[in-house]
Amino acid sequence: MGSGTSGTAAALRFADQGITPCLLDVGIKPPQKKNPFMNLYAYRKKKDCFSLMIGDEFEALNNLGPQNKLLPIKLTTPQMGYITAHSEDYSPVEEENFSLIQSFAQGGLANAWGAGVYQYTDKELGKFPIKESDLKPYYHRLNQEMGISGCNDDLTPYFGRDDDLQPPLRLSSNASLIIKKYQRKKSSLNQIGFFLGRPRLAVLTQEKNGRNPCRYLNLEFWQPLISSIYTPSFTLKRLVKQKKLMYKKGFLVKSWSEQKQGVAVHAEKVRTKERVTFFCKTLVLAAGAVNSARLVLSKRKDYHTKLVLLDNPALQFPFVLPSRIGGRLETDAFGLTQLNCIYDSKAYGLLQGSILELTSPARAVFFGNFPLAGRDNLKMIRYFLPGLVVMQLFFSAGPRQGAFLALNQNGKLEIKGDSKHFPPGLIKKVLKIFRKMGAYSLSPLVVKVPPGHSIHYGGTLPMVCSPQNEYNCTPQGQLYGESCVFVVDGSIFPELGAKNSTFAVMANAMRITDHIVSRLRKNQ
Amino acid sequence: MDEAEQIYYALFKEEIPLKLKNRFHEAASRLFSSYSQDRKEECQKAFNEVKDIEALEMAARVQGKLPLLVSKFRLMIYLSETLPQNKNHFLNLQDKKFKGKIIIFFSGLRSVIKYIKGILILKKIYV
Repeated sequence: MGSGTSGTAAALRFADQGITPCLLDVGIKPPQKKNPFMNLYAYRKKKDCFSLMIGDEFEALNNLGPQNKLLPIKLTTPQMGYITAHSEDYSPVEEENFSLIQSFAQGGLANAWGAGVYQYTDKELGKFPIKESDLKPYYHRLNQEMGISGCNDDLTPYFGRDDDLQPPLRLSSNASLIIKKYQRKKSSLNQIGFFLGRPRLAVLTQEKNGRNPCRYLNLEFWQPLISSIYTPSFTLKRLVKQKKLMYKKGFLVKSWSEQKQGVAVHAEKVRTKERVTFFCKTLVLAAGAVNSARLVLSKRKDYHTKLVLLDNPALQFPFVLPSRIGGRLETDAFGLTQLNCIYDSKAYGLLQGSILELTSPARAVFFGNFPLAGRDNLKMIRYFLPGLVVMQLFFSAGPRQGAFLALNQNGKLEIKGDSKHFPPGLIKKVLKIFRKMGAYSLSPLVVKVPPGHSIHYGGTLPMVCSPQNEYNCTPQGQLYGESCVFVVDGSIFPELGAKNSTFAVMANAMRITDHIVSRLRKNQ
Repeated sequence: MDEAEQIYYALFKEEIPLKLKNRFHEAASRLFSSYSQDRKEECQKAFNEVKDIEALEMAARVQGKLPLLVSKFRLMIYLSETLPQNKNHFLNLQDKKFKGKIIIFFSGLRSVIKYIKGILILKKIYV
């Protein structure tokens, strides 16, 4: 159940192994709207962009409403609204110091992801009951399916070697300047544990599986299902077309019961609320770290246990490149991650940064970030913004730093987060490193990403060598105390490395699927 | 002038297009209805009594005061950006590195003056 990255990876692996799985999903689809299909700025020159940028229901203004839940900017744009639509209805939550983002869309939150695909190394898998070599074979299969662009460079020791990459995306002028200065000062920067390089992105630069390469239209924030950016929906569509997957859309799984021959899965039709039961040999939970945990708590009728919920803490650094102030806005850039960096030091551990170009979001988003008068802020937007990039610096997350999640008797999840305290001195150190590369910022401008907004969730049903309670899973993903129920999503990651975990979660889902397949074949 | 006209003029020194004015009022009624009556009144007072609304908004934004007024300015910015005739206010489509830096320098100076003025207005009206 669940059509996000992990559910889709599991479905793909079943299909590879000649088994046709049935996938239960709410499966909300994007609205059928007229898309520009042309460069964002060419479109803006000619057309009134109210429908594209604000929406007929003023969706993009969500964050201005004092009562509204703050959402990451990308999820407020009119055509991306479907990704989080109805999530409060299907999975009600009470949050304290945590802002949970959920999706019941076909393809899940990956419809709005940054498409970063990073392998977990043995260093990050230290507390896992598996090793890098256990996941390695599946990365290659995923690359075949998704198409990954990037290159082997200074970041290879941290991202893993991959000899089957498409060429990296074209760099923006800002990113080119940063990487040029890095090359000049590389040896001194490497000595302090700082490395910079190209990201690994599930974004095509060459045609693959009928999908087009990136056209640099700056539509990343505005248009769902851009052909060059992988989302699970592409795989689902293909598998359904090839009759390798039974996709049952419009069902919200509520519970399950184990039976002699397998599992009875109790679901509800989202439109009619009608109860439906499906029977299967094995149930694979891939509803995401929060909703898989909700199902297990609900199944156990447990209103007391608090489960750990992990999310990568993160800081946002705005950096200005003075030579680019007043420069032409790059209307043909890739509007997401341009560069990645690693800061690997004894003092702060392993940190990973994603340096993002700001060409895709609405300029209005930045109005409140400048401290000048209204008309002068407009000048800043026009002349200063082209020289600005943002780095999102991710920290690893372990059970000690996590939030807690529990189910209350009303069926609501209670999530309590904790304010993350970042190591003292780190911000100044990072600013100093970037100054060497010609990118400047000030400590007061660095923003803590609200807990939950990294949208890398995990840790609720961790896999351990010897499961000790009913919320642990075996290294093969089997839920403790259940003979035919497996968990394949981020829930089973006992820790999160300082990077987007999606690729590792997908590879792990495929690894578990192979185990399920061999078990099914043995039982036959 | 109503509030939409005042904000638009403060930002762009032009008359607001009618469709933008209508959108502003509709969006404001949907988004800001939950503000308390006190907040609505202090905001209305600003539009009625203050001539330099841009200065007041800046001081309020920096000082964390008058949230409704600040939000209305942001709303106007969001809506204005969607019109093709406003593209030159938001987008720098030609290289103007020297001119851009000079403009930013003078914008900074102008903002210092606006801030001082805004603080004085804020104290006069709201203390």
